[in-house]
Amino acid sequence: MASRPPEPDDATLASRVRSGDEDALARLYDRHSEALHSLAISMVKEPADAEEVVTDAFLKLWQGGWSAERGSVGAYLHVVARSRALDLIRARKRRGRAEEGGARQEPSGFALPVSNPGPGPEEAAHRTDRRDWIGAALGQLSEAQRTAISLAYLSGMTQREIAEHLSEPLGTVKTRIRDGMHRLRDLAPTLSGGAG
Amino acid sequence: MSEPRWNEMVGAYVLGGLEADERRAFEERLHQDVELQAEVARHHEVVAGLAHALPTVQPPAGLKQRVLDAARSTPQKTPALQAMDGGADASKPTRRPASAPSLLPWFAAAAALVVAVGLGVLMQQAEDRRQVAERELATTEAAVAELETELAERDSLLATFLGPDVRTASLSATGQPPSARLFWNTSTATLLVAAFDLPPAEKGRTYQLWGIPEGENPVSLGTFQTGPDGTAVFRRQAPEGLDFQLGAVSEEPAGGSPQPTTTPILVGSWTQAQ
Repeated sequence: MASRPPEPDDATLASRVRSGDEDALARLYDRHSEALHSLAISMVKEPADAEEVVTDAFLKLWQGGWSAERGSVGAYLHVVARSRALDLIRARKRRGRAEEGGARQEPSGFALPVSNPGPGPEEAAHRTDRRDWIGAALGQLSEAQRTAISLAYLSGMTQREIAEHLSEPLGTVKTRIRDGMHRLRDLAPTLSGGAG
Repeated sequence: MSEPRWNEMVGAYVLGGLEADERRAFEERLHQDVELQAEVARHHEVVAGLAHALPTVQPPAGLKQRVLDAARSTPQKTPALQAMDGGADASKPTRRPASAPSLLPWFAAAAALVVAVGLGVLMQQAEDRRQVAERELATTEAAVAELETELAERDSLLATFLGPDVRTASLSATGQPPSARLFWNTSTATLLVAAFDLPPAEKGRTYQLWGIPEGENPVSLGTFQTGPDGTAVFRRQAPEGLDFQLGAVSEEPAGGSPQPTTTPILVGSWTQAQ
């Protein structure tokens, strides 16, 4: 029985995307759309806005925005999607359409238990690896560190805004974010490896 | 006033948690600090991993097709735009000059590239901003201000490389490909670099540009990667006060090295532009 050729990694697919390969774009969509959509929904809440965030991220990739110097393809897509989601959140805030009192919606936060491997054995393994790692790593942080990181990550609050939101000293918030992020970095495996 | 502890700001920076003035100062430092760039890259990977800790919400069934349809109707950027916008990559070959080219065509090409890339990037960003502004009217003023700032920066860049205080260097190994051209405005310490026929560095490796003052150790001018066609075009800010006689490119571990760890692939010295 002939063995299946190995799956091309993300960087290879992204290079093909730059040359106009729609199939390569479709495969990268299969790998990353679930995480991007979960992020977008967590941030902007509205399904139509989340769809726009995901679409924009893949269109930036299509237009050749990624290069190896920018890190992994997954990290690039994530940065683009999160940036667009923050644009929408800030625009809402400026238009006064935010929730009652003009405050940001409280982020839903991180789901620590690992579940839902998703479709396709290879993609499922890839995602489960990441879920396993990030779930375990977040479990190593204090609740206060997770809260500070979650507010910055999902709501786009600056450290000063987080301090005001939590009624905590600014220095305390800075320390929580600094120590929490360093801890996550120290616990991170080689995230850009494999298909990532 | 004491120097900020840049490494302690990386987590807040990648999360978007710095205030505007802190972010500007951090990014100025980031341009010239290879180790800080590597640390930011590691943190970006961590932040991307956070998305996998969120409650899973499957994308709508039809979204994949809508993304593909949108891509089909969206023109891809030209290789020149990709090269400048993406930092180092282009998808199609860039024509190389004949051997022993005169300076002026090189310089004119670089200046033209700056103009074309600058305008193209601005047009693309203007279009992106226009679409957002249609939905979110309140963002328009900020977007326009951002574009005006960028336009001013591009104009300034063009003026920089048309100025009288420009040195050029041709970097090569043996006079054969690969090669690179450096344009250095000594007044502003701004470098424009164009590399050709330099295959992309292997996974886990990168190219690093060095300035070598006479009788001193090399000074890093940052890392870069070439595109599939072996080209890279990018701009860098040299450390203030640095004066170096030789330019060089070596292959280094991803993230760069404090000092070269391999024999330089390309070496060349400055000549005053005529």
